[in-house]
Amino acid sequence: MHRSYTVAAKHLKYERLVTVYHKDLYKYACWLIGDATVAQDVLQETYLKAWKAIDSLNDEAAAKPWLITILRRENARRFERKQFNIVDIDDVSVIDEQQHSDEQLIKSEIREHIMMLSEEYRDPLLMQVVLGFDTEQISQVLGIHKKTVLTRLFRARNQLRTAINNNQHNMGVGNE
Amino acid sequence: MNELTFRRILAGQKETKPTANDAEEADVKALEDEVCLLDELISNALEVEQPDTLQQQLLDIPNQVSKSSRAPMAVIMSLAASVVLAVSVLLFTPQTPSNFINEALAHSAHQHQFGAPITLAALNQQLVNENVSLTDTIGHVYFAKTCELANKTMMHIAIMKNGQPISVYILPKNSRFQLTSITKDKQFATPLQKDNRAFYIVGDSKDNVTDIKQSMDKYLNIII
Repeated sequence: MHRSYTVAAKHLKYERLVTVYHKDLYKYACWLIGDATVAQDVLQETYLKAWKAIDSLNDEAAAKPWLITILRRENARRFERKQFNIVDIDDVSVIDEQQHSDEQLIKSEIREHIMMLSEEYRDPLLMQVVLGFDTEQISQVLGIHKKTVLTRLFRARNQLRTAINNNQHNMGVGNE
Repeated sequence: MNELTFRRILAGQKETKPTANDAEEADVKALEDEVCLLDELISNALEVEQPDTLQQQLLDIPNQVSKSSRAPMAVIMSLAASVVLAVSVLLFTPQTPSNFINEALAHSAHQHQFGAPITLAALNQQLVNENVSLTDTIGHVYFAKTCELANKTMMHIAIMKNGQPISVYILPKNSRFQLTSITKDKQFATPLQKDNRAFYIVGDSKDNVTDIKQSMDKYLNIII
């Protein structure tokens, strides 16, 4: 009786981890990795590891950073296993670029600018914007001081803002 | 953008450290608005379409794990059954089916280097020696060439369906492989029997493989 209750509770806990967090995790994985298919594989490995270690997750409030830590570790393991080709930023095919509306073009430019940020700036920015992490959570996952997180977030936004403004200026778009 | 003010906005410290005057308050508000706008732009730009089957695949993981880790007695029983089955297969089957299936799965898993797609006419030209032809396209076909699997030479057609590679193997005439549908290491494979010819279709997605199977069944023409 007790065992079946424990097993059912474990399954419920796992289901919550999937239903609540998988969308954000997939989105984050896509931008971390730059390839939607690989992101899907890494996400499956992440959840497999999460299922096997689910008993060690005592505080469900900490589930998201816990899953992200697993995901980042799984992504790092890919590079231990295999040498990957360098992907040109123009070849990153996470999103279908068939539409060419102004909005799509702006989105495409912003994505390009984000992917051109150095990893140390891009990583905390993705965590904050895509995952909704606060500086405390980012500092825990990345293992860096909170003040460093704040500095990197500031610099990432500043670089993005400058790049976007330059683009608009070059295209003759912007406020008079 | 002022870093100190930005840090205060981000850390939510405005309440604990009130601004000195109205002008400074307005500056903080302007920066706050700018950060919000930029974040909205970033957030919109980073939207990603999620595959329909992803959630279900993730929810299925515990079931797949439990299938592969059964109770010790069940393992012993299944091992015994496997030995009996293996002996039966060796005694009564001329060719071990799993050899071909395993090799087909492995061959397909490494088949990711595609060039430009070829036309239906070019494909049919390649298929002449196999005495088969297609009356319509079954997807973006990238090549059709012979390969050797389980010591048999056979035609391998590489197709791209919904961005995923699919392999179709045309088995030699009168081949005695025992073909079954199988899911292994995220790959799905299924046989197609048409007249006296057998085909084996392998891919990463069951849906795509099934689509190709249905198209082949519809458009495949066996030349007698």
